[in-house]
Order: sequence, then structure tokens, then C-alpha cells
Amino acid sequence: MIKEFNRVLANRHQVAAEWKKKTGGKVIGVLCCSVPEEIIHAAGMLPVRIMGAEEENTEADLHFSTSVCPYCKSCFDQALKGRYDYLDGLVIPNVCNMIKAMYGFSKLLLKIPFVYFLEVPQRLSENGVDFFAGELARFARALQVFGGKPISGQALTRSVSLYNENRILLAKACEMRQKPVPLISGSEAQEMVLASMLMPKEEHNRLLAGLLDNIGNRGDAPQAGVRLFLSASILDNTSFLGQVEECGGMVVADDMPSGSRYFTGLVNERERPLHALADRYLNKVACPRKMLPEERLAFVSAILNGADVKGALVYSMRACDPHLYEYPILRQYLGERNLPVLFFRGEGTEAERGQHKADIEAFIEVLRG
Amino acid sequence: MTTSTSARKSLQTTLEGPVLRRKYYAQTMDDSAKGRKVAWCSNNIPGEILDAMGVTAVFLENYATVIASKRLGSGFCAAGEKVGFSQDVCGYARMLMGYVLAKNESPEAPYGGLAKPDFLLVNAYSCDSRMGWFAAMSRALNLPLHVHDGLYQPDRGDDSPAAVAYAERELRNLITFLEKQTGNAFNPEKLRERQKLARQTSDIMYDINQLRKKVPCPMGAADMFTAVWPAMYLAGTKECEDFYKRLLAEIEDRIAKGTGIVPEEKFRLMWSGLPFWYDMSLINYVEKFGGVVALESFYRTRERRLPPQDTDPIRDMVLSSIRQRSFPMTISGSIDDLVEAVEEYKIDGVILSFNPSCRMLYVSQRELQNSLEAKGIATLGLECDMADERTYSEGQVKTRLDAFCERLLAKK
Amino acid sequence: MITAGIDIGSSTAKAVIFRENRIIAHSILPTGADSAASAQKALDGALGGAAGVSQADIQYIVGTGYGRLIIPFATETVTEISCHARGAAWLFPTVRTVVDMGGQDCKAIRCDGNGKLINFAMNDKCAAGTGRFLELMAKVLDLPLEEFGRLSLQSKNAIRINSTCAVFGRSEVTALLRQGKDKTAVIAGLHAAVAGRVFTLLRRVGIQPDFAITGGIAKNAGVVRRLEEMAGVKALLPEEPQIVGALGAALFAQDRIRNKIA
Repeated sequence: MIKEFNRVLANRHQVAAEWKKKTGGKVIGVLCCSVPEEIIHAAGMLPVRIMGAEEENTEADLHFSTSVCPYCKSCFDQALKGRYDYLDGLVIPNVCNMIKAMYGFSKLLLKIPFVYFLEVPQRLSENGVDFFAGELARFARALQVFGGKPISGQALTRSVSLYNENRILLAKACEMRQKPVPLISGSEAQEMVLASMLMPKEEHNRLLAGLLDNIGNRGDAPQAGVRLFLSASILDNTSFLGQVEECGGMVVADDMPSGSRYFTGLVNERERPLHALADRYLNKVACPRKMLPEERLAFVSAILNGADVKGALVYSMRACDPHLYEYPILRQYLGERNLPVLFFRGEGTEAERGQHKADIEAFIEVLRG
Repeated sequence: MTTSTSARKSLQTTLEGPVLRRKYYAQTMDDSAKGRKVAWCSNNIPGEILDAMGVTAVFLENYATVIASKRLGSGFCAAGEKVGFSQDVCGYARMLMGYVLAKNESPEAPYGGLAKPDFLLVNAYSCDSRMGWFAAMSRALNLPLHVHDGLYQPDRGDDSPAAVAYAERELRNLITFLEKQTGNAFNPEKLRERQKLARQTSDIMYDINQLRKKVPCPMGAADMFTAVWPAMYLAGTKECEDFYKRLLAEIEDRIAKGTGIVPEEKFRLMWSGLPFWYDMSLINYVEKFGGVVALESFYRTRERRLPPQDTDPIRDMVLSSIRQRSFPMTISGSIDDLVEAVEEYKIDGVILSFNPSCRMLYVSQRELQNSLEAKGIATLGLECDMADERTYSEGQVKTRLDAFCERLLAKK
Repeated sequence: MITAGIDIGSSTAKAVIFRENRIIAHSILPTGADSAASAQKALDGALGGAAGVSQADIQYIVGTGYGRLIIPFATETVTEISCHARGAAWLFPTVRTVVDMGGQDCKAIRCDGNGKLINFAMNDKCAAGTGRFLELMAKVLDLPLEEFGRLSLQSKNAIRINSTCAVFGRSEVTALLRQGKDKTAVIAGLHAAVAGRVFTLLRRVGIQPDFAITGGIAKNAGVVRRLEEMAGVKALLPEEPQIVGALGAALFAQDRIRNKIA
């Protein structure tokens, strides 16, 4: 089962293209956890998280300079190279400067038929939830026009329920990392989350349920490592977490988009769906761009409580302003919880791994001793 | 080695700008001493509302440019880096964090420092840096922070009821916050007066910018980078309007006399993005080749202001800003905007400033450059931080400028 | 009519003496600490090879390069960008794109048939994709720089080197060697990485044939061959690639005299 997640991640384009062929449906790319995928799902379309690749950004380098978000640059490079030619649409939320810019750049340089800008409020407020619910209604209407068929209230309610189920299952599965003898590794957990972003939720739920049923019998359980917490910008592959494991550590608790930020917080199924979605996506997706430090630390605190970690890793993408500004505050907070901190400002390339390895090894040695 | 790093100004009126600025900062200190509440603000916080509430506004980004123009930027940046702010992040933010959190590591602050704040105000839309930076300052200073949100709407203004309602509620929330902090009531009349004057002043700026199209150029970027200050921070005051009336008169006089920036104008340039505040003489550098930097992209007033959109001044603010964009928000919009300026101002070449730490602008510069070259418009890219002079390599920058001028002259 | 061009680069100082459409002498010396003195030494070196010509005979001297502003005897200065375009076009009248890789920077230049500068792009911010990077890597691998390019062509399997950052590159290379990877494959990878960076720079200005490579890097067959493959065009290589800037300067000097007469 775990191997299946890896297969989906490694063959994401094929997976999406095959789904398209099989169902005749539309594939809609999303660039951030702030986009309510349920609405896309309810429209009968497949939402997929856009991800980069570990390649030279030969095409994107012609359009972007060096000091920009490596994730977005790599995603755009992949699109320019034709890897995302099967995309019917792209939804870009109002979050950080780079992602906002992707809206205009996608319309100018790519040939995606439906490129939609989702106006997400940039601070938490009551005002914001009401407004965002209205925006989601607009988004749903636009998808209906694009898809040529209506999105029923029932369909939306079903999608919300399905996604909540996925969140619950992902949370349960990720708990397996935290057992004294872990049943899944940190990198496997990340892989599960990433795979969830790339495939139909129905299938992913099935895989997760199957995994949870059988995980006790697992013959190839991972080695327990020094227990670590990781706060990170988007890491769209498992190399970093894999490297941590190679060095004798394991990320058992995380605060990152390709981890808990994706599934934390259920959508309230007793409320009107659009309003409930607006509430969850605004208030429960703990992105440092729109949340103030106090709001963010509440999430981090909840993650750390009961996780029993020995140290903390903080990985900020280069040029990722929201995470970089937060870092001194996060570091202080982690210090107050007596957690040694190791910081990375990375680009997600193979090139830095050598240096990272040395730093991680030294850090783990200190934690062990 | 340059001795002076200020730009050489062509107009007398321009020189009044820094005087007004100095006076303003002195006034903020005075206000603070007299017990008026002081707010540290990010640039997009509406100064007119603060004024209508009897609050003194200090705009930190402007103070950052003051620090940088005195070549103290690096000292403050280094201090900010020492307390944990990455070199990747906005130079202005690093400097002010250095000032706030590491005074002992920082150079002496210009103007004797800033008036002590009572609270902080930041706008959540526009740039990422402001949020992170103001949140960090709020914690460091243990002062209340009000976050003011607005609409991004990259394509064009959408004045649907829901959008207007959101933006309006955000403004009213800001007012409520200010009422709580000051105990003062909001005075809509005062706001209406300021808005009226601000509109008039903006229209004068529009006229000024139209006249800059003339050949020879009567007022270039070297002047405007300084002369724009009152419009940005004193908008809606009589003082501000009078300043621009005098500026306009001086420009008209220069046109009548055929006075340009150089004796023989050989080519006209445009500056896209922020200047390097620590060496504004760069704007004059091309003059030795007979070139002028006629226009800057950042402060250009593109249109006359729409008339009031509502009798209620808050609704008017919201509707006006939605219906009349002052700045393009997508790459296509920026390209069209630049191309239009090149045509209207008879521009021969565009210098694009790549400031890595000003991410919001930086993201677009490469593609802007590509697009201009594809349209046969000569460009030059210069990459330095706008405030941190450690990133400045004078020899390299001047070599590129020399080569660019050689290219332009070879074309003619 | 005798003119001269002096090119003071960060690592080498070059001089060209030009008379009636011919290079009659040239010199290349290390720049050292004193640029002004090196300028004189370079000129003297060239004069040494020009029988019967003294400094007083030279009617116009144009200085170029990083140190152009402190050449005491230069009548005028022109940037090395314009000079490389002018010099390359004189050597190869069909050239329209020039790549110059000096010690510390890399330039991609577009010009017309007369060597007039049309566009340029430069990388002078870091060692990535410059001669400095290859120098450093040659040292790390304990190999003579002159052999480096040739060796890179010996391996068919280039190991992908991910960083051309001199800082990361060093640790990446030492790590690969420790893993027992084939040395020539690593060298091939380094050259591919450098060529890749140069190619990206070239794409910014667009590659229009004919395409010439100037500066020390033209002697590195490894980079040259790979650039040609990437660009899909054969590169024109000057016999003396390092003096193209000084040559261009001497030609500009000639232009100035001709304009005065005209």
C-alpha cells in the first residue's frame, strides 16, 4: 500500500492523464493548500497539486530571476516544458507574492484554458469568512460554466464529507509515526499526503483505510530515529525527510503544507457547505502569510503537545518571506519549549544535500548525547 | 569614487521636498511629546483616515529610504540580520528590525530616531514582507497591531456588492480600532475635505506627468524621486497642493524657455522599479552621454482622478480604489503599462532595477525585460538591493550603464 | 595610422597595437595589484614586439576592461562589452553573437555586421558559470587548468553536477570522489554545468549565427564543444581569444581618428 503512494507521486502526470482518459473529466491544478478542492471535486473534476521536479529550470530561468520561490519556479518550469499539458485549469489563490504572480504569468505564457484567481482574505476575521464564502460561490459558478454542468448542493456536501474522511484517515495514519516503535516513517507519511493531492480522494481513502487495517502486520517497519519536529515551506518531494532518516532521525510531527497543514481541521458538516469551507480554509490552514505569529503558534503548540520530540528542524525555502520572517519568532518559541533548533534556508535541490546531511548528522549527534 | 550620492535636481521646487519631509518628522516628535497617538504604518495605510482621527502617522518604509539615502542602510540591515532576519527579506524590514531590536548594533538613527509608537498599522494586501515585519515589530515592542485587509483583484476592479462590502468593513474596522486606541471619534467631514484636496493634487500631478512628455524633458526621474514625497505622505493638505502648484508652474516655465535637463538631449530613458537609494546620482549618470532619465514607472500618475463615487467618504474611498487602479497588478498589465509609457514619453531605453529583496516587484522584472526587448525596446537590467549598499558594486553597475549608453548611441 | 587598445581585466592585462588594418603586436600579462602599472607593462610588452614603434607613435589609445578608468595614458575608454563585439566582428565579419567568459564574469553579446552593439546580458554577481569556477574545481581535483577541458571530453557519461556555486560545487565534487565516482565523469559534469549556465545567459539575448567565443574559455574544448551542442551552431574561435577586447579597443581608436579627419 505504501508503495502505491510512491507510485502515484513518481508518476503523477500519468495518473492524472489516465484519470482524464477514463472519465472524460477535467483536471484542475492548484498551487496552494488554501484552495478548497471540495468545490472542484463536486464539479466532477480532479484537483491536483502542482509540483516541481529536481531539474535545471532551463525554461523558467528565462522568465524569472534567481531570488524567487524555488517551488513556483520549478512548477512553472515543468509547465513550460509541457509536463502539464493535460491541465484543463489552474486555480491560484490570493496568498503570497510569488503565487499571486503566477496568475498573470500563467495567463501570459501558458496555454491553460481556465485560469482562475481566488480572492482569499489575507488576515483572519469574521468579515473574512463571510466574504470568502461569497468568493467560493463565485468560484463554483465559474467552474460550472467551465465544466458545462451544475454543481448541486448535494454533490458539494458529499465532497466535503469525502474530504473530511481523508483528513481523518491521514491524521490517523500520520499518528503511526509517533508510536515508540514507528509503523510508518516521516518520509512515508509525507508521501501519503503528497499522493492525496494527486489522486481521486475516493481511491486515496481506500488505500489509507487498507493501510490502517494492515499496518500492524508490516514486515518492513522503519527504524526508530531521534524524534524530530519539522516546520517547513512547501517540500514537494521526500528527499529532505528521507535524508533526515538516513542520518538517524525521524520527523514524527510536522507543520508544513505537504504534511499536517493539508489535513488539519475538519470542515463543519453541520453548516452550509460554502460557509463551512470558507471557515476551515481561512482559519485552519496555518499559513504564515495570513496568520499572525500568535495564531500560528497555537497550531504549532497543538502539534508539539504529545509529540514528544527531542529537537526541531525549520526548513524555509529561499525567498519564502512568510516563513523567513516567522523564523526568529518560531525559534524563540521552540527554545522556550527546550527544543534545540536546526535551520535551513534551502532551494530543494540535490546540490545542497551534501551540506544538509553534514548539518543534520551533527545535530542528531548532539540530540543523542 | 563618488563623493555625493544625491541626485542632481533640475528644479528649484524639488529642493523644498526634503525640507517638508524633515519638518514632518520633527512634527511627529512634537505630536508625540504633546500626547497625540503615534501609529507606525506601512505605506498603503490611508493617511487621510489617520489624520481625520487625530492620529500621527509614521510611514516606516519612507524612513527606510531616509536611512538608505544616508548610506546607513547596510549598518541597520546587518543589525537586523543579527537578530535573525534573513538576507533574503526586504531591506527596509531588516533595517527597521535592526533599529527596533538591535539599537546597540545599529548606526545612529537619522533625525534622532522615530517618534515612539503607540500602535502599529499594516495592510495585509500588496506585499508579504509588511505582514511578517510588522507582526515581528508588534511582538518586539509589545504594542497592538491592527491588520487592515483589502482586495487584490488582479485583473480589473470588481465593484460587486460583496467585494465593496468587504473592503468597506475593513476600513470601518480600522476606524473602530483607532477610535478604541485614541478615544477620539471619527470625523467624516475632515476625511471628505482631505479627499477633495487629494483629488485636486492628484490631478495636478497628472498634469505634471503629461508635461514631462515634452522634448526636451522639463523634469525627469532625478527630480520626481524626491518631489513625489508630499503626494505620498502629505496628501490632502493645502501645503501639499501648493507644493505641486509651484512645481507645475516651474515646469511650465521651463517648457516655455525650452530648458531641459541636459544641454542637448540625445536619448531618453525610463527607470522601472525602485532606485538604489544609497546612490541616487546614478539617475544622473547617463547625462554625461547626453541622456536623461525622463520617467520612472513607480510614481507616475496615469490618469485624472474619478469624481467622488459616493457621498459617504469611506464608500468613496473603497469605490474609487476599486474602479481606478493606480498600479498594474499582473505581468501583462505591467508590460502594457511600460510599453504605453515608452510610446508616450518617447523613451529610447528602459533601465530595470532588480531588487531581490523587494519580491513583489522583483518577480516581474525579468519578463518585463524580455517583453520590451521583444518589442524592440532597448533595456538594461541592474541588480542591487534598493537599500543595502553592501550589494552595490559601483564599477560593475557603471560598466553596464556605459555599455547601455554605447548601445543606444550606436543605434542613433 | 597606428592605434592601440589596452584591456585591463581582473586577472590579465592585454595590449594590441594596430596599424593599417593589421594587428602588428600584442601582449598578455597578469594584472596584479597595480592596474595602472600593468597597463604600462602590457603596452611596453606589445611595443617590444613591434619593430620600430614607440609609444609616441601611437596616435590614439582606447582603454577597456574592469580597470579602464585608471589607465593613465588612455585617450578614451570604451566598455569591454562594446570592444568584444567590435573585435569579434573584425575577426569574423559574419558574427552576430559573442560569448566572452573572463575570469570573473560572463557576457553574452549581440552585434551587427559592423560590430555595433545590439544587446548584451552579463553575469558578474557570482562565480557560477565563469572561468573562476573551473579554476577552483581544477584545483580541487588537483589538475592543470590547461588539461581540464580536454579531459572533460574523455568521458561519455557526465555526472550531473547540480551546483555551479563555487561553495556548494566544491563539497559536491569532493563527495562524489569519495563515493568513488569516475574522475573524468565528474569533470565532464562540471563542464556541462558551466556550459549550461552560459547557455542560459546566451538565450537571454538570443543566439543568432554566426557565434563566436572569446576570452580564456575559448581554449577550453570541454565548454566550447558543449556550448556548440546546446546552441546547435559551431563556434568561431579566435586564434588569440584573450586579446579580442583590446583589439576592439584599438579599432575604436581608429574610428575616432577617422571621424576627426572626416
